[in-house]
Amino acid sequence: MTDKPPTIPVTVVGGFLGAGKTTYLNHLLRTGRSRFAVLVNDFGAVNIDAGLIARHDGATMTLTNGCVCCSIGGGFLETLGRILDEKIPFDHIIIEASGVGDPWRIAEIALVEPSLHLNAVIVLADATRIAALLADPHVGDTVRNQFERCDLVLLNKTDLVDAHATRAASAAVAALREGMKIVETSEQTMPDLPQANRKTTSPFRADAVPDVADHEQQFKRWQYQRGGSFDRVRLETALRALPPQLLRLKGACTLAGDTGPSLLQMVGRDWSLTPVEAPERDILLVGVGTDDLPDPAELDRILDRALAAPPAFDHHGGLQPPAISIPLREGQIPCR
Amino acid sequence: MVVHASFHISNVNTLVLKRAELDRTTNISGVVFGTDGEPSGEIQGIAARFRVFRVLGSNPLSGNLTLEDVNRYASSACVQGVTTITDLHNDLADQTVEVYRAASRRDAFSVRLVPALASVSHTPEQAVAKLAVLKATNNDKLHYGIVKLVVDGSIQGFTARLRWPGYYNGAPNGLWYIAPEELPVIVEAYHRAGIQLHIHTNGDEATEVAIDAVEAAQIAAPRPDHRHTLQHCQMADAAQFRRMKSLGLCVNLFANHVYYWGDSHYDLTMGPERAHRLDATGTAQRIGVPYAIHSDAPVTPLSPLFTAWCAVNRISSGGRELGKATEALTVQQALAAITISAAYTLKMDHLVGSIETGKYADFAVLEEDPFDVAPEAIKDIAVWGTVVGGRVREAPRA
Repeated sequence: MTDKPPTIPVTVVGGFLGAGKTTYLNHLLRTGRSRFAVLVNDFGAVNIDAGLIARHDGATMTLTNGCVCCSIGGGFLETLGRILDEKIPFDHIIIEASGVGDPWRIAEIALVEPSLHLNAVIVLADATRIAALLADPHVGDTVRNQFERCDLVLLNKTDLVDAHATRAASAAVAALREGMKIVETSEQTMPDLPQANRKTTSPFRADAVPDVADHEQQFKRWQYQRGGSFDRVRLETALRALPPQLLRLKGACTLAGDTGPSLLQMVGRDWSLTPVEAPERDILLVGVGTDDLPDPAELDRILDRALAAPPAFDHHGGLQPPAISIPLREGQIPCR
Repeated sequence: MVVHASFHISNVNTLVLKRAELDRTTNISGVVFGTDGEPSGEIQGIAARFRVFRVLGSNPLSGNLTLEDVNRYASSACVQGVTTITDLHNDLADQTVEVYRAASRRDAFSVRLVPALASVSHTPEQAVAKLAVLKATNNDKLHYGIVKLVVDGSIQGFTARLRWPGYYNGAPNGLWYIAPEELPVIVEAYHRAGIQLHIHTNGDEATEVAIDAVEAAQIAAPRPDHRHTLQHCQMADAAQFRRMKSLGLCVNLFANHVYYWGDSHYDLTMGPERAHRLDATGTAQRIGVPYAIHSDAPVTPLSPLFTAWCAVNRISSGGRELGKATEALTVQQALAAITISAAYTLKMDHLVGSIETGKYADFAVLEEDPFDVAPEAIKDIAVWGTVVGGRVREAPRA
């Protein structure tokens, strides 16, 4: 056991109505490379391909990539509490602030809750009207407040205005305070989740840097890479035989008899296989477990039992290409 | 954990502060410090509350409504001589609906209940569909049909939206809970669906955008006798009341504020001049806007006679008269405001609110005649009990 459990990073996404918060959250959910819990104001606007949705039970949508999207309609604090009580901790919690809310108020939760740390506050701005909103007599103060303590501004919808208007919008946001970091975006060019590694903000008035445990250090990773394919029936048996310390397993593999690769995702004891379009034909899985995860060689042996007899020929009659080793960058899970 | 009646502020003891690791080094909004530099125990806001709930293991403010809760509240209503009561902001989750259904079907249930569906938890389309289903289950003591919108916060919490010159003490303007550009869209959707809206606006800027939204809806889809009602509407000026009159709006003014927060409004929030027009019942009366008065229980205690007393005497808890010459009601007007006028704002004046052949036999039974006692003594009149639908119920005594 470790003295202190790892803390989960929190990113708050704010911005006035119509700035593109939901578009950004849709993008993060669809492209999620690790297990995100995304808390949204309104499910109605979340637009995820039906094929990516594994389960939808009203208040929670579970995606095949392991991400979860929760509506905060039933009470924000209750929803967040439920997320924190999940047996398998999420890799990242992303919270959508209300269009008229102050994202910093939500970010403060990550400063006082010991199981969380604040990754970033991201505020989206609609390039077509942010300058007008900032000067609006009714909502100008509300909109200006949203930017007060953000780490990053996504100046969105820049594809809908010309370069001159984009510059004007950017200048209006930049004028709010020194050091505003602005990235221009459009629906087609949404960025991934930034790792802001906030150093400037601490929950302590004395400016002590909080002792944030490194997420990766508390978990063990295991990578399984083989040429060839799995036998479907034996794979089921092998997955059941994996030890409970393995929290999740994800990656590409091919099943004997299939023409293309599949995405294997296992969270706890639940797993799914979804056909994907990918050039890789081999097996490359990455697992994450608690720090008492058994030796990798032992885990390898369990999955090796599921390997199909190496075929001499592929289904098109050609020779199976030799196994290619794909270099893995640190912290990257090789699937899309 | 002690929760203030507003639900926005709580106090916790040293043990909870310690377990929540809230101490002199904590730097988040909502943790209030004492003169010794340590947290005083007063906490507000979402982050501090979340932390405390985690430490307590649950949110003591949530928890499911039970039949016993509803029956207990009905008894409280009887003690105060209340025969029809609103629940003016409720998500109306299935369990609540079931509890209300079960409670209201009992013959012994001693109050008529008028729940308002909270718009925040539904899109207008969802709410309209849900209300159609709920209204089909209405019975003589349960009346679904109205929707509540909350536009801004509270004056005493400095979260109400004010027009110029803003807060008297210079505090920044308050919070929008619905964006001004979104409000007309929501109002029009319900207006077109024939639903009556109850719109919370405390500050006069919020009142302004609500009146604008109803005006736009009336132009887009004229609808006679809609009776949309502004709830609280505490700082409206005469010009706003004139617009309400011409648009067919009703208003439910928070008369108890004069007593409970009148001094704060005079000293801090509105200053001497605007504090006098707080909850301008006299202006509403003169201009002819249909109006009721309320306690916002549990924010201030349930007691219509006390609320009437506030509107008649307009005196703060510190003893200062606020706008008595211009805004005070006569006893007769105040009694109408807690009976037939309140029924009118709920579109129930054909059923309750006055003693008349054809209406429910709903009465408050008082020990003294309000017209016989001094106006300063209305609040002290004892309530014997109620009659609801002809069923006599003596108020339970402690």
